[in-house]
Amino acid sequence: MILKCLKPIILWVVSIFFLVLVDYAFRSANGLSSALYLNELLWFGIPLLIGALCALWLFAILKPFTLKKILIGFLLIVGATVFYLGFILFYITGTGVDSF
Amino acid sequence: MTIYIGARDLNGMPVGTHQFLLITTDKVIPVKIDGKLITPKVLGKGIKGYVIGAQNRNRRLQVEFFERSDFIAVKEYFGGIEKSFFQSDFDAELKEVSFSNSELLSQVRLFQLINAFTINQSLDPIKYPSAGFGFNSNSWAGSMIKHSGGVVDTDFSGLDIFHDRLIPITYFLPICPSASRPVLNK
Repeated sequence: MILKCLKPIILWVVSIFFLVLVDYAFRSANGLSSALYLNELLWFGIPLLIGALCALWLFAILKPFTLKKILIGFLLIVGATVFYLGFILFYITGTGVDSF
Repeated sequence: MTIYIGARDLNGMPVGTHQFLLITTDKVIPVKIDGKLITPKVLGKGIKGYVIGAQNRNRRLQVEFFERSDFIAVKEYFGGIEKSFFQSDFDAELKEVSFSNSELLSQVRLFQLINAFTINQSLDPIKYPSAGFGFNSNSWAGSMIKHSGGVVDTDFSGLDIFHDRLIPITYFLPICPSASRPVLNK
């Protein structure tokens, strides 16, 4: 079951990598150093949409629910959110889009 | 003329706060920073000023006037830009800084510090820390206020990490120090 649960997480991770890669490629091609290339609707909307789909897929895999399965699902979602925030933070601050 | 410390949301991040300085002025007097003339810009109805912040540029903490996001954030605050309901804004927050000196003297002092910091960055650059965890733009804004004799609470709402970490005064002085400057963000 754990392996099955990893599929939506892998999809999530790959999507975030791809989103960042696309933005970085367009920024580099257009010489845009201190701003995102992607429109904010896409930048925030795509992760939100894919995240919701991955969460639905994850909970479909975990059905029928038990306390243990809900806990696993919750921990995976927390982990995926932490990954998203950390990865985006490194991209934003590390490549000069914006700085703390 | 009023001197503010400001904070805004990070561009492209759901969390995180970036701090900067704002000096409003009635007069369009250019100031010379590192040989370049900087002129105040219109921020809103009848409000002009200088927006100054430190940024990660080429992995160095560098001062930038009217940085794109800082400038938009201030314009949003003063009504110089209208945003639609579906567009995210920078949620800028400004705090007026109080000084014991006159505001003109304080303004001059701030520009002196900025000028010296900018020049010193070419000699003793402060490396921008990984993911901002170290002496960062929040530290820079707070240090500027502190070293210019201003008093304000630099803790803003949101995740403004390292806002209370003071960059040593030696980075803001127009001198070649006898002892080398401490290396920050090693």
